[in-house]
Amino acid sequence: MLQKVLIVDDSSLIHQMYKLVFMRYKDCKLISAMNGLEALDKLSQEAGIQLVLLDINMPVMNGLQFLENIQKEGIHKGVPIIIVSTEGKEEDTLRGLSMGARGYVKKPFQPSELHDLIERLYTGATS
Amino acid sequence: MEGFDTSGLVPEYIEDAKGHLDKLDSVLLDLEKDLGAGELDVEMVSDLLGSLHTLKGNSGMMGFTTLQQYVHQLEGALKTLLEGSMPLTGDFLQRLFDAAAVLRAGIEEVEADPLSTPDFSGDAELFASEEPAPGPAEKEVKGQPSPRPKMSASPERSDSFKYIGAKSNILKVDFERLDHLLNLAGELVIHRTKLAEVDRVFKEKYRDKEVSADLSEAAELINKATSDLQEAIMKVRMLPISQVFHRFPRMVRDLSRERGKEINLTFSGEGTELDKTVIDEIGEPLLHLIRNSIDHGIETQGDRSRKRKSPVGNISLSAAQEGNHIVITVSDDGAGLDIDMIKAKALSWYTEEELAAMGRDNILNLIFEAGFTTAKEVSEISGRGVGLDVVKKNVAGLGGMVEVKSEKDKGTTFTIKLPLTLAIISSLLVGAGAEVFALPLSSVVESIRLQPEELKSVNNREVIKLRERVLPLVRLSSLFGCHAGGTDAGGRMYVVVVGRAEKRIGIIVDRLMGRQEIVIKSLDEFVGDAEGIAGATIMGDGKVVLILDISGMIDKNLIKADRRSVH
Repeated sequence: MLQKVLIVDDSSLIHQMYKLVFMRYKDCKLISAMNGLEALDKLSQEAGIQLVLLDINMPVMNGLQFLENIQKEGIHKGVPIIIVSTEGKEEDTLRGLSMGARGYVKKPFQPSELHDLIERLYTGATS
Repeated sequence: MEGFDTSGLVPEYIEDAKGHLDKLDSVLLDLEKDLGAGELDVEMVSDLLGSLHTLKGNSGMMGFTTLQQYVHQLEGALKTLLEGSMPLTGDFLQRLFDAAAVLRAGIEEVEADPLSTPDFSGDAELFASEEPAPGPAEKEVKGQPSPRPKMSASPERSDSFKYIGAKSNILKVDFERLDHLLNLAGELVIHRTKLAEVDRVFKEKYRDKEVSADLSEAAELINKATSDLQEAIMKVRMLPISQVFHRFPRMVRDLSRERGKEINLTFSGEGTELDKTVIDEIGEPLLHLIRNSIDHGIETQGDRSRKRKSPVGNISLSAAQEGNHIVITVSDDGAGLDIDMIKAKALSWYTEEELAAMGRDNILNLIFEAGFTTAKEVSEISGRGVGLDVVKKNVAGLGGMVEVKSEKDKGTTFTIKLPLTLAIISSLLVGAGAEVFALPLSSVVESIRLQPEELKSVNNREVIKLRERVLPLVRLSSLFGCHAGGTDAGGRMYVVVVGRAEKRIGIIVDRLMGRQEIVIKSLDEFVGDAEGIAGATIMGDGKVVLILDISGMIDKNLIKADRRSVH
């Protein structure tokens, strides 16, 4: 099922960690971006990204600004975005969801939480 | 965590965490310095909060919950500063310093044993209250002569400054220091030449003395060590060109969208390394060339379909090392340059005959001439006030050259050729009258000796015929007004053939004085831009030698032959 996922987080450690989390999805390629701007680039460079896991608090361009860009330019609309963020301001999360993010997972998360959300998203999307 | 073994990531976590801790310390120190000033550096504190936020997230993901909670408290305390609900006082700052020390101790604890759980319970109250009201915990802190929190009192944390002695494999150095180092190595190169000269004289005088052999050996060893040193320093200054390349995808994406075009940008040879000074300067010329390709090269999707091309245009950036040079190309598969339009424009400078004699490539390369794109009809197409002459100027400033090749409807390729480094070059020393000049060896094709009667005159210019090719000549002595001898004892004269790509001219010199490594010193510090001169160098004997601007001389004497006033 999942073959290409874009991870957007400013911590390289988190990127490493996602590698472990995604081991259960065999052959799933993880694309890394360290901030929103890089993520926009990756989205336009890499074909076939199926899911974006998005941190909120990042330098250069944060997650909300990233969502804003996506929304404003009306691009990559079909790609589901899940916010994965350390509990921050409640309103940030709500704003993110209102800007088109499909789900929210609080850091630190159990891998199972993320797995569940992904399953739900995919079965929800196909049914 | 079930099914989620993060233990392998501990070293990475620790390394990262220490970076955040160092930042915390340095910001606190800066805050302390600013304490009297009253103004809080909001940007600095926000930046630190971002760093702590990352540390908090990482700690949580690694399962170090107590660390995560402690960082969260620290974050909260700093936020009160930003929100202005808590003024920055010396006492508050001291508590932050203490907290930083406690945090570092905690991270060192998990470094020593990833299964341990740092206990911050004794220090938790440190920031429990956001009010400066003296709670019990604070009293205690205040009461201690050295307000070290409880946590650090435990034996395994007794040495809380141990991290100062920690070793790291990476060192960040101010580039100016490296520059200075290379300059010093350059001086050494110059003195090496002097030593070799002494050695030569010595050998002649005391041929059979053992001391002469010793000197030779020492000179040889110093020669080698100097070369090695120079090379090693150059390596330190090298950076991969990917640093520059990777700035472009975003721009190409945005611009192509704006122009209603779809463009695929690809890279090759991103790992090619260049001197940092070159890396710093090459971004702008590349930006111009890529913009040029997006604006004029790649056609709209409709045009491309009509030409039976793929609707998606391609721009590729490549870099490769060729000998002592780096070759960078910007290629597109767009419409190609319109040679008829360039010819039409060039007619204001050249006659039809001259253009016909110039050849296709030379005509195409006229687009780099100053003033070429500022003309009305061209600037409308270019859409901006920036011409390609800026690219040429920038690249020439780096000691390089730029050329264009293009085929109608197939595409355009810009090629930039740059020296590996700007600081030291190999040169050929030549003499004209009493003066000595240096020619960059990279542009020297060959040197020949000829009899004065081989000189011919065409259109009042001196030329020679070299292997069926007519070579325009320049007399170095008349160029710089030095008194020339003209011929050697055998009545012959020396011509150094220099070239840039396919273009060649010959420079008549009085003497060939050999090859030498020279350190380029920029001239503009002393005299500003001087025509025909690219820079200067200082010789072993302290004498200043001028370095010739070959690229400039070729332009002046080949394309714009007898048209010096045109600019």
